Amino acid sequence: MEAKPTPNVLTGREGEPFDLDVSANWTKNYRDRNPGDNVSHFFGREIIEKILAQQGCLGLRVYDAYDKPINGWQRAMVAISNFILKVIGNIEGERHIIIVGAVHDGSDMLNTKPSAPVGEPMARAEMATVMTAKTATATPDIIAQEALPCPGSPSCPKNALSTSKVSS
Amino acid sequence: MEKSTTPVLTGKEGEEFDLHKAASWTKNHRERNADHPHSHFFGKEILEKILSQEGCVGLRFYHAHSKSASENGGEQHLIIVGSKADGTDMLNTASAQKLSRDEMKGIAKAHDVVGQEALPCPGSPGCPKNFMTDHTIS
Repeated sequence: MEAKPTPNVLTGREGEPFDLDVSANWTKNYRDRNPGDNVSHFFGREIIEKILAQQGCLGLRVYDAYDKPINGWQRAMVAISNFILKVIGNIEGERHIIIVGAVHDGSDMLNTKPSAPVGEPMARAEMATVMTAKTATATPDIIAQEALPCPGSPSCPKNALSTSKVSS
Repeated sequence: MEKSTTPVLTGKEGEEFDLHKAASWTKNHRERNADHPHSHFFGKEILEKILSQEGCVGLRFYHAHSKSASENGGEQHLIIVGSKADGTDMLNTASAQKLSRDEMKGIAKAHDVVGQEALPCPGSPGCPKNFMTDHTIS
């Protein structure tokens, strides 16, 4: 099977140094809009470096995630209004983020088994098998979830990005 | 005044995660927030730049929104900063003192990098199609 050439859409240079004042304002906007939600998530450098060290990895894709699903009624409410959902829907569950490596053509490193061309779609079950295989020929790709959300963990800092009460 | 700096971060935080759970948790997010980005991509260059700051033990990802609660429109973003062993963010590492935001800004410019994502999905080239982005893919 011949590998199809895939376009380069990622270079590893994505993301820009950002202004601290704008960061403080934008994180405040988020907290105001989502009271009760986690404001940040911390990942130790060990797992980040492990993902970045995977062959071909050009960066991290950071997925938003929730540990609890919403039901049909709540889904209907979402369609009507996110505001109503929050106030009277009282949905449960906590916000998380999940990180994976990504390669030059934009695909995530969930399926990079040596015999398959990059980006070749695989069934989820097949991917899970490849990822958990402990053999040398099938290097499992790493998906990581954060250990320390804020608020809710011992490491939470107080600064311009996490609270409005720090002097401006 | 010196505050005690007990190490609360070690660099080992974060755990390898199950693929099926990752698929279902990301689906939960898309159903709750159909109009929000479902992921943000950061290139290796800025991640390594932040990690290479002296004393950095990992990355903290902040949720952010470009418009205040009273304004319409805008979009969700992620902002990343380095953190140190005592749990503080690397916004003011030139001094252990509490600094005002203006002071921090002066110092942060010279020393610490705050990163913002270039590529949200959907909405940028390179957005992948997999079961973390679309639950109809099994």
